[in-house]
Amino acid sequence: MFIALRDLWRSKLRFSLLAGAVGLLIFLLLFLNTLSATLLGFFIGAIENNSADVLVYEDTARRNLQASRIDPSVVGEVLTVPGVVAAAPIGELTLTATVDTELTDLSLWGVDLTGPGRPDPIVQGRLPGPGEVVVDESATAEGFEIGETITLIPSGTELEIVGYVQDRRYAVVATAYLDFTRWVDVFEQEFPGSPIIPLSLVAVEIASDEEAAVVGDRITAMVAGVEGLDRVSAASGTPGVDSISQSFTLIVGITFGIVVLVVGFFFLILTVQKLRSFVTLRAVGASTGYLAGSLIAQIIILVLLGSVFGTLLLMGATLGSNPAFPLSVDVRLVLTVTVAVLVFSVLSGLLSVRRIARADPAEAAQGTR
Amino acid sequence: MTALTVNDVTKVYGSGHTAVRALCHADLELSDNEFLALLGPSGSGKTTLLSVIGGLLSPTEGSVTIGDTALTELSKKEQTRFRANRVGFVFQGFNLVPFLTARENLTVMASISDAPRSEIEDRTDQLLEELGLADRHDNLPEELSGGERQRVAIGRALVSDPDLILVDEPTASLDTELGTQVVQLLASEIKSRGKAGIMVTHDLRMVEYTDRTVRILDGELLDGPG
Ligand SMILES: Nc1ncnc2c1ncn2[C@@H]1O[C@H](COP(=O)(O)OP(=O)(O)OP(=O)(O)O)[C@@H](O)[C@H]1O
Ligand SMILES: [Mg+2]
Repeated sequence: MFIALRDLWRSKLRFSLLAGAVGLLIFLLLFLNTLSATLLGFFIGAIENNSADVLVYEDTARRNLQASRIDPSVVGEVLTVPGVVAAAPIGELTLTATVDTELTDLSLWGVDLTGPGRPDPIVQGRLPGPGEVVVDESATAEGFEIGETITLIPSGTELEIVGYVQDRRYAVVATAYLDFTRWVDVFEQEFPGSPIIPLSLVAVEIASDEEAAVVGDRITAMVAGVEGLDRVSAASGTPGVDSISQSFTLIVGITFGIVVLVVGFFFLILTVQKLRSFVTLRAVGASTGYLAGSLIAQIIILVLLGSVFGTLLLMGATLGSNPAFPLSVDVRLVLTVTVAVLVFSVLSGLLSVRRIARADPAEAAQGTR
Repeated sequence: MTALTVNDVTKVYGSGHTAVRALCHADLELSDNEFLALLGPSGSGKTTLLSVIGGLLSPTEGSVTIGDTALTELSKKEQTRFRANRVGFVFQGFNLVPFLTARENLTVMASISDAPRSEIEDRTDQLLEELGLADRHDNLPEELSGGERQRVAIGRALVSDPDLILVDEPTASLDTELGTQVVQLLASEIKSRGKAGIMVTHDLRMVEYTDRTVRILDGELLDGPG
């Protein structure tokens, strides 16, 4: 540790610059992860954070909510499955609407306001009554604010916004929730003469001693034509989610590789530059272990500094966060990224350790040769 | 007591037709409290001999015993540890660690040798005083003169209280006056601490500060001032 700290101290500028660079890259890693969480939340928040434990899809819909059509009678069938405590219909309709004279897309969800699938918790305002909806708070960016009226197109039905929920956006468009029976009314006005009004999903609450995935499988097995899924599987199974996460994983992976290589190569350069000192220290009796330990200690200090810097930058970036585009510092993410960068940087430091181990102490005696 | 025995040591660098025989059946004995001058022209094998004695190089043939330890029998790892505790080396090119101050170049031995830190710290202060570096202890090597660097290197060789001190051309880059000073200092450090020491030199004037002289020519040791 002695030489590690002295060396760091005597080359403050050099190491600060590197810590800065590592910090920026760690920030990039954290920010990309945060961004992907927010974007995925916009895409499938309504499913991932649903208040139901299990969501039931039409089995041929391939976990695509908008392709799923379920007969209303299925709700009763699902209720008979062991482990199911409550079941309620969910209808989803993507429409064009105007709010504040602006034309936008709207995903309108009809749910049982007191049953599974209910919009809970209401973070501001109250549950919707007749002619009213609550919207996901991110929709304020599109002008969906409490007190505003949404006009559906083409029917002209008017709905007043009376509350907000959080992290319940669906398919990246403004998302609103209202009572299922009102939703049926809206459906009939938008599609007059429709013979039946199919549900999109059935929302299920399970007994407290059951596991969602198990009950989901049981529903799949016992009820014809449907597939029961826990929220996480339903969310990650939604078509498109995979390719979004894969793209981000790729970018994050490349960035990660760059951080590790930058640290590894930088230390290799430093090691080669300091080889004469290492040779001397080996000659006066320093073990390879001691020198390697010093190098690893420097890497650890450097990555930790970089991580602190990157986290501060992330905190700065989340200052720009607002309900329309929520960004938050996820402590677990910061820790995971830090530990991962640390472990792999130390591994990349082994390149330098190998160089040190190969240093021949006899060279110290041969003058400046 | 015998401080050092070099027994029939041969060192060949490389192999085949590029092989260089740097030492040829060298025998040498050194007793405690003895300071020996090793005299010889450039390329005669002086540094090679010191390196073999200090465990930096393995001899091609023969053995080296320091005190009661057969150095040539030890593993590389044990030799490293032995160097840290029992051998003090002053290299031909000083070889100070550039990012450590004069004082730290001595105290670093606390992390390397098995001596307790407090002992190293005490001896460091004492040595810096004796070597006339008390007011330069906070300077980096690049801020020191050649003679000052040389003295720091001597301090580092002595600080872990080794039994054997090996000094390679301490006067090469110093003028006569400073060179004499440094050698006198070295002699008094070795004598006052009861060590054994070998000093390589080209310079016949330095011989008067030593107890005995051994000459080396083309890797062969010849006793006496010849
Ligand atoms: N690593 C090496 N590989 C091959 N030959 C070497 C090596 N080191 C030294 N030699 C050769 O061995 C011989 C003795 O070298 P050594 O360095 O011991 O001489 P020296 O007496 O210390 O010389 P100087 O007074 O110039 O320092 C020389 O011929 C030198 O060229
Ligand atoms: Mg030499």
